[in-house]
Amino acid sequence: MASSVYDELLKMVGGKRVVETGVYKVDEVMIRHWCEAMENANPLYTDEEYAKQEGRYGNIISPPAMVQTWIMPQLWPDGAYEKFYPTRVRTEVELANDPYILVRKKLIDAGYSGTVATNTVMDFFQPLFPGDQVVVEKTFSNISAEKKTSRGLGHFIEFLWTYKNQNGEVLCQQKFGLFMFKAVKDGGSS
Amino acid sequence: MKGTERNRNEFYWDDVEVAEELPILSKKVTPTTIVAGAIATRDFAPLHHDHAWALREGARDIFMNIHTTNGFMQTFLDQYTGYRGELKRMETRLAASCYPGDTMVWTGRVTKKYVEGGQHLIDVECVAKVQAGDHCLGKATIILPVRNG
Repeated sequence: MASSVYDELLKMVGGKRVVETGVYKVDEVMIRHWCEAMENANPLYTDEEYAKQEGRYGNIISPPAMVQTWIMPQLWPDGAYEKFYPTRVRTEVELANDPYILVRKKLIDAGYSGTVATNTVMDFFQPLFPGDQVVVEKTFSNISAEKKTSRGLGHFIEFLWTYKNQNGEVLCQQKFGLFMFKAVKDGGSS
Repeated sequence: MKGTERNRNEFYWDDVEVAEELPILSKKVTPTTIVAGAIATRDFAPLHHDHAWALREGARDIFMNIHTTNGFMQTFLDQYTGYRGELKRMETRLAASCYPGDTMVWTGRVTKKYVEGGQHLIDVECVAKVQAGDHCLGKATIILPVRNG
């Protein structure tokens, strides 16, 4: 079945980009918190002495796979909850400036209220050190026609994110894929 | 299928053999695993901590967010290289969700060994399995130190 939101969003592919600055600078304690959750004992992330003597960079680094954590929205006072589920009424300016919110809001409004991450590809160019300020540029890069999966009917969408540090050096380029769908009951297989 | 283990300080690109298997990472997943991972990655989406919300969205419980899956893949790769590898590229594709009660088991093998742009590299393909089947299919390119390099 043809969906008009699909036609509308197809025209937005490759359009406006949004630049966001991480709420917190790269921080040793947040890195340790991450290492605890991921059971990661790599001393390059947590042991300053080791990093100085053995490490390649003379300093501890943020785990590469953690890069996205540094640009996640804050829970309070500007709710992360609304960022993920952008259903609250937003001003036209806000919507026009952020394709990441706008694309998902249009899909939610069209009934595709379920969201699940599907894939990422990350290319790393520079390590992140404590004190670095991460900035990310996001563009809307792809949308699939409506597809049927075990979760329900929906669209696969993709964003291209470029992470930079305070010196403008590219840290990482990431493709981030989501599936937005009209939920059906999970049979337990996915 | 134990995988190839080496002394941490003796992991060199020179010694890696194509097709060798990585040491398995096996993790019993609890609600705490899911929530700790979600919060450590600053992912406050209710799917990863709110049981009732997850049910409403058609899931059977809260489930692991992609950042935590990526995090455990990083740990799996770091353990293999004895913390001497440097991640150059990482790719993950999610299939079955990872729920509390699952045992997430990462296995993988080296698929390519090569030199490019002066860097000594290996490619790894891996999979994380859960009760329902494949949770994540992963690929990585890792820079390794070279003897007398």
